Amino acid sequence: MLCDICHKEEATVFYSIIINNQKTELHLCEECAAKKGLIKPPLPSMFKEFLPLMPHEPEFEKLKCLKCGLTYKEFRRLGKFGCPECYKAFEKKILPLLRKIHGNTQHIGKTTLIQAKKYEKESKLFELKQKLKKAVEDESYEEAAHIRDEIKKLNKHGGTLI
Amino acid sequence: MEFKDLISFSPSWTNAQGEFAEIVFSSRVRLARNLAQFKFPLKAKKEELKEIFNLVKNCMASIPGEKLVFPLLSLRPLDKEFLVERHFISRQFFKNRDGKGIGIWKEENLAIIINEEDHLRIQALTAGLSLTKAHKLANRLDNDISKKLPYAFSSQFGYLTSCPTNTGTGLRTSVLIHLPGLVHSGKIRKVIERLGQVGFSVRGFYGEGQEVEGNFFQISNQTTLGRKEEEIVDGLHKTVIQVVEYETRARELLLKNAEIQLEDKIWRAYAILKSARLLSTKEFINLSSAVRLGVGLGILKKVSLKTLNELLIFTQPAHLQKITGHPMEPAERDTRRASYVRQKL
Repeated sequence: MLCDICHKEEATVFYSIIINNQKTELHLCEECAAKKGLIKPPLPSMFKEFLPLMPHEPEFEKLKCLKCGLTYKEFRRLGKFGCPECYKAFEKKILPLLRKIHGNTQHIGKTTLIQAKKYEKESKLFELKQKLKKAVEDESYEEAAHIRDEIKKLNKHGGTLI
Repeated sequence: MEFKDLISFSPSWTNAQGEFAEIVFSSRVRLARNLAQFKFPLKAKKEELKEIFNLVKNCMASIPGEKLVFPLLSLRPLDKEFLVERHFISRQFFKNRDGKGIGIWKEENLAIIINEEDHLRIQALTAGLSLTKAHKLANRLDNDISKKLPYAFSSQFGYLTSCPTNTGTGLRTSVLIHLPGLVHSGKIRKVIERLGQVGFSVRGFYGEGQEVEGNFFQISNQTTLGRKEEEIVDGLHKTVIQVVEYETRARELLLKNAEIQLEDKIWRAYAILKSARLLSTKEFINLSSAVRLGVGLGILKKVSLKTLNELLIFTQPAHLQKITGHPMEPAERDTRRASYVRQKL
């Protein structure tokens, strides 16, 4: 059921008012219910607490993840990544952010090594394919041939990367 | 096992068996995981999300234990509310339903939430203070899944999650704790402040964005990157033991300074619960908090913690309606709640 006010979000707050024995039922989403003062506005998520710590830098807003299309501007607004590749696409901006949130930037917990290698191989492949595309577009055929060789090599001995 | 059977069982985390069960209601460990080859739910298309749901469903079928897996779309509004009251999901989960789903193990100590903020949220819930046990449960399930479904993982950032506040271990661990002593003595503010300074967050009964009711609080870790899982779990365990000590001291002090007033409050609360004909959720939660304190202090010997735990779960609106078998207006629910409580006490 959609919210009676914005008709966009799922209604999760059900409210009935009785005026002169006439009962009216309202089905609202949390945001609209909070606006009407029916419920307390939800507390900001943990990420939003860190947003003021991220300086507003217009030159970075054009950064974009090539895999999912998320822009850095969107990331700042939503506080969420669109795919695993975003971590690479926004790497420069993420390191200071992670340090602010966790006081750390290096994972030392559980590791599934096979998975790490597999993921990093896929990620590297994605990066090379993007480079290849650009090289072809720029008509740098020598470079393109070189990248193609790298992709071939990686596909052959994928397990030995890192 | 079918969805409709859930209402006839008490979840195993209400059995009051764990350590400090008179103060710590339950322990929880949650692991956030994403599948390597897919976009996160924010950017994934409908079809991708459905594919993820099916992959997880098939994977669960190969893991031992009696369980249920179902899409969110298959649930009626009352069933969804029921799952919120059972602490499986939050209302936020109801938005954009495609590909979303839930897997629940029969004892309800384990669950997988599919395509919420991350592809997988593996949750373990146990009774009393038993964080290590909860972590072992979640970790074992995580190992089983990781053998079949490759996760998004990098050697620098660990498990890659939708939100940077979960990056690394993806591990959030928490306890639901009853602190009437600290609330009544006015020391709770100081304790919450101090917990915040040492990296823990404190919230009300139903987690994020909810007000405190019945003197129940949820304490959880804030950081997930740069520490080992065991260290995070042990850190909360040690902190909770300290909070339990403060709470015990506050209760002793209350008993010493105002024994008769405290006893009066406890016995009155018990008497109302035993004889009321109308009970709202809020009134029940607040009265049962006093009764729980009485049980913890050994003043009330006739009531068991297990009964109180079960009552807290089963007197919630959707639970009552499922027990009764038909939808009820709030006024009718208050009558039904009062009679249910009288019967159980």
